Amino acid sequence: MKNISKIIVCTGTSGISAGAEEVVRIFEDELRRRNLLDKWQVIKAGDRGLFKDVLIDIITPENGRVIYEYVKPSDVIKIIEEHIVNGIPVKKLLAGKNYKQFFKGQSRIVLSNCGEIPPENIDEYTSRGGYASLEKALKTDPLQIIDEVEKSGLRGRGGAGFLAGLKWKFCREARSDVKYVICNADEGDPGAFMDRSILEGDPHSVLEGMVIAGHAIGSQEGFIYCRAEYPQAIKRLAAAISIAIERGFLGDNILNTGWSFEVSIVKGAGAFVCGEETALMSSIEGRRGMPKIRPPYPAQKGLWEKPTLINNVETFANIRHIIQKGSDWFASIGTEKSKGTKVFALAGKVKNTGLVEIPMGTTIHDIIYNLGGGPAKRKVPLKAVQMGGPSGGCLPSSLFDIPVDYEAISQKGAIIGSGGMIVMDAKTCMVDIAKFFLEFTASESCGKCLPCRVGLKRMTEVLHEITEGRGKDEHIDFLQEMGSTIKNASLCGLGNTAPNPVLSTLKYFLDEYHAHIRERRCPAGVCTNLINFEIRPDKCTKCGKCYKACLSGAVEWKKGAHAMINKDKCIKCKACLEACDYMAIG
Amino acid sequence: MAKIVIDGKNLEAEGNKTILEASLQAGIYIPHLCYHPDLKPIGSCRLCIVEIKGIRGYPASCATVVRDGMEINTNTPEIIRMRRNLVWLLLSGYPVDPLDNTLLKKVVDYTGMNEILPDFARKPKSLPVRTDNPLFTLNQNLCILCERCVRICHDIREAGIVGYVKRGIDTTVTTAYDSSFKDVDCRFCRACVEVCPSGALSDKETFSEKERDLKLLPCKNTCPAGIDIPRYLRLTVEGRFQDAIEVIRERVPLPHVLGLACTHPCEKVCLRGEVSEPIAINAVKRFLAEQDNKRWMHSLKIAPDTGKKVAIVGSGPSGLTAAWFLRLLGHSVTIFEKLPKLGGAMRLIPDYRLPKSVIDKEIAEIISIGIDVKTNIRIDSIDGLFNKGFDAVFIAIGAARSSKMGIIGEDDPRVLNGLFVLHSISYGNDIDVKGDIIVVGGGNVAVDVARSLTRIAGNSLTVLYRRTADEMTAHPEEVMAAQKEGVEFQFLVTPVEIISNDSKLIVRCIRMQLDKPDFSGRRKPVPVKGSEFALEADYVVMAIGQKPLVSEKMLIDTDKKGLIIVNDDMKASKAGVYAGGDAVKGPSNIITDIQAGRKAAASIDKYLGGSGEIGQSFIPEEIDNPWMGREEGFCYAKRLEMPFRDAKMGMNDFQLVELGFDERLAKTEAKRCLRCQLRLSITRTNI
Repeated sequence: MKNISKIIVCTGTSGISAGAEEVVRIFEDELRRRNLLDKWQVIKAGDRGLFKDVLIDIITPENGRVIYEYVKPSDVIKIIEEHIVNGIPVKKLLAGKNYKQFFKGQSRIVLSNCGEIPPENIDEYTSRGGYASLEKALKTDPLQIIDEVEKSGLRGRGGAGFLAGLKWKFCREARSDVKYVICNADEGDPGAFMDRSILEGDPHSVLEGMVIAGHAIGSQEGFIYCRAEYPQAIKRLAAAISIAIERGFLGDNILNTGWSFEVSIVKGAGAFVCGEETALMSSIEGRRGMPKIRPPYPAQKGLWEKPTLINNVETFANIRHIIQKGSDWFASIGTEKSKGTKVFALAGKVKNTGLVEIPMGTTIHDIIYNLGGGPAKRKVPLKAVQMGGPSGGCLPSSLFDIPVDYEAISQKGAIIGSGGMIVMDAKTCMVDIAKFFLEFTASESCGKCLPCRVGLKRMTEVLHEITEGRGKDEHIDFLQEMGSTIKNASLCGLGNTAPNPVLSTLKYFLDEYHAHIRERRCPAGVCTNLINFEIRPDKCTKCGKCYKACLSGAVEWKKGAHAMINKDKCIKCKACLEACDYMAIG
Repeated sequence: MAKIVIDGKNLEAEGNKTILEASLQAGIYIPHLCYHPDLKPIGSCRLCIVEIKGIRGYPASCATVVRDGMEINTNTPEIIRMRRNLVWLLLSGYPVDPLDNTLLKKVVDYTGMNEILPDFARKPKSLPVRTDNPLFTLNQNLCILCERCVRICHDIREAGIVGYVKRGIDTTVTTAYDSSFKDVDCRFCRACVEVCPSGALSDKETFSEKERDLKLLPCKNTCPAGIDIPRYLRLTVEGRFQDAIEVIRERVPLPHVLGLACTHPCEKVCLRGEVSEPIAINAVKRFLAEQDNKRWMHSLKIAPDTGKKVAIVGSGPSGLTAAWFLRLLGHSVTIFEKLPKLGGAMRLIPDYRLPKSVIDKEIAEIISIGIDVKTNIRIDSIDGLFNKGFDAVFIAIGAARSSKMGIIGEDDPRVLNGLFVLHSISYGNDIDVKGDIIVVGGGNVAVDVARSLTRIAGNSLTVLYRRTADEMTAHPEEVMAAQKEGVEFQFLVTPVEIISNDSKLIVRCIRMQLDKPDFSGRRKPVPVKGSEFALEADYVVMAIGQKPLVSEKMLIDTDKKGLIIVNDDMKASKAGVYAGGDAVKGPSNIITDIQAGRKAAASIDKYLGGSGEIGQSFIPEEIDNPWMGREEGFCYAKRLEMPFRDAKMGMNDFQLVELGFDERLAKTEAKRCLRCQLRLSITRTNI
């Protein structure tokens, strides 16, 4: 068995959508046909968190690990014939330097198993140290576990960054016969998918964290609240739960200790606000998912009014590592107040996008330039990064040197949140971005509290006025005023943070607002109503890209001459603006 | 107790109070909309935000419990600014100015947000106004989404009829799938209306502050004697029948008589009638009276003797009631009755409606508490009573004289008066009435006569009434029963002459038509020229009204109709003399007469130096459980029909025609109650 060679295919949601299952099927069929199945094992692992379509690793004693990217089903036969049969890797398909660059700067702890092991296979998990932490924890006094978690400095990875150990302690101290553990897997921030990747790629690590938490606080029941839009994650979690019960890591009489802990999956129905812990609990209770006022905090009165420990997927996934390697090890990573690693979903105008797990304290610049590979378009400079999803803020490139640290980021008007990181370049309109995020939060507002329900809508309306060319100076005052009222007066985290995109862009990009309002101009060339669709000769390099991009024949260009736009033919599709690397169309 | 400082003012607050409660108690107003004293705070309107020293952010004072040493500021410039912004947002979607007398108006006025919003911010809603259900209206445009209605319906009533749908700015309060309230089993308790701070939920019928109790709890407040109907209905549902009968007995000493013969004005106004059909209140009362095991007698308290003597002249319902309550207050009471038996006009009600055994049973209970009875004594002189040592006199002699039409032929021996007929039947005297009979009149006496005579005589029975069925003072149920038993009614007909023939009476009649309303509010009948016609009859019974027989020797003032004149305290024109019942108001009904007796008893007690407080409670007050739950098909549950004896069998004797409810029917019917009283115990916030 030991000498068996492995083919690892990444079959998370993104892999599957790129055809990974077909790739697996062809591999298996072909290996069977060639009677190679006794020597070759095809492993369906989760995703690694970067977009390279189908990723496969071929691990042989001779060549070690060889990584292929963008594998198509039609490539499989070639790989088998050249690499597997003849031992010569297919050069054309090998992962390029971007892949290496992307992983080089990462320190993967919670993602360490993702894309490496078959998520449903508990033996693979245990062989990599899985459930050892649970065994250790069950032999440890609960208070000591909590102490360990507290000392590690682990902070909640869901957004607020509350000290996990402290939360556990409060739950432990709350007096009640019944307590609950909830894993918040209602990952709702657009663009964030670290929780999905963990659940799909390493579900046992989350379960293990939950069981340890259950033991630590004295609970017998746990729930995983997972959004229904994650069918793969739910499927794999369910499979993981049943095998874990079979092996005695979950369910009745865990590891013969006499203590039992059940975990069930609850599917979220698609409301962003249900990621807010009190709303999430209302949803589990079968009520409309609306946040409740705190205090009482869930640790005192949570699900069904019982003390409840609620942590995010990534938080739970960290637990086994802390128990195994100790709090000192964990605390040695990161900054003074932000310990360990954090997974970010790097997206937007950078070369490499995907999940990056980096030690806290890494600078934004390092993430964007070293891991992300810098701007997607070499000639279009980066302008800002939106951190923390729709409720986060936009930080300008001048602040890229600040480290990723809960306090440092929030001081500047953004948040770490669940780890969304959207990079923007000069072609991104900051007013438009603010409008985009605000529209999202306004439509996801539950409607319970007045400022969030009405205020976000009114702010959205004003942003529409501005981006559509009807802006007034007083609109800026209005946005400032309402933004700060909504931020301060809203009932839950959604409202408290929803104005952030507007407030932070007002803070760092006020000139763009002014350009929209006073000059009726969108500097980034995004707001259609504010674009004249004229070539600016001072910026035009006569390259002709706009000419090639135009599908309606409106751009007139001859080699060596400035382009011209014939307004009679222009349909304002903005294809020329997209194509122009020099911001020469306005 | 926690020592706190609010706006620089040192206060002591109970430790479990919230900042808002403590603040309001101390007279420091903090604007609020979603907070309601009866509901769990949710802190969603955000208007009550405050600053607390040492605490980050702006907590909602409605949901923050006081702690010793807290320093709270309710009016910092920052708070004022945010509060104004919040109200501004609230009004940005509001289609009209906030309604007067609402909490919303108060809040808006307080924050001073009366200026016009900039045009880019005012986006009034355009949502449905739901008027399709009984009793209340839901205008979603006026809704401010404070969730008060939803919370009281879910958390207190646990009926869950209204809830939030959609989200964000599109959130509205409505029923599931916007169904009609009746289809989602709304209990129509209108708690939602009571707590609504904006008038989005409003009663269909508007009313003044003075009318509030009457309009919100009409049954109890329409009952002349003020019987706590909702309370005994609830006790009936709970199967606590002795408790229930004792609730009735707090107010009246003749529950069984009422259960059989009350005209139940309560049912006419019962709000259940707006949803489907009114509760059969009286049928439940009768059931309860039938269950009465006299447990109440053990807890009945009779005050120590006062040494005062009261004479009651007449023993109808008002006389008996006054005697009962005066005796309970410790006075010595003597009833004088000119007839051999007590009961007055009650005895004229035929047995098929009100058996004599029931009257006798309840009268026996009344006199058993130590009331002297002198029958066969006619009192002419009041002074004579005072001379005998009585300190006060209550004249309750009823209206025992039949009115006459004054038409030719009325004196024929075959023309009888209604009271005579009923009296004869009641006392078992033979009356020679047979053949075709015409009864003239539209009151209960006319119908009683007709129904009684169908039982003992008569080929045919015709009732002539000069107006229509709608104007009859007889109870509609009685009229219907009479019709079932074969009585023919001719409306808009009046006799003008009775011609005596040897074998028959020829009754010449004229047809009438209704004109404008007269002083009684009913439309006045006027003859139709040339419409005369004749009917034949063997006997004619006149039942067109009664008057009291007040002896001149009594020396008290009467009006031109012969009714005794009394003031608001029921005092007649002579000191120590009170009067009530039919002798004062003309023929009415038992429950009105009972109330006259109650009122007279109170006045007489006061006259004799007492407090005037009558009645006693047998069972302790309890907090009405505000839980209602959900019941499928609640709104469509119909009034249970009274089981009847077979009409043909019932026609041959004087046995009770209505068989009464059994336990199952009584409980089922009582369960249909909307429990309007619950609304009155909700703390009021819209003033």
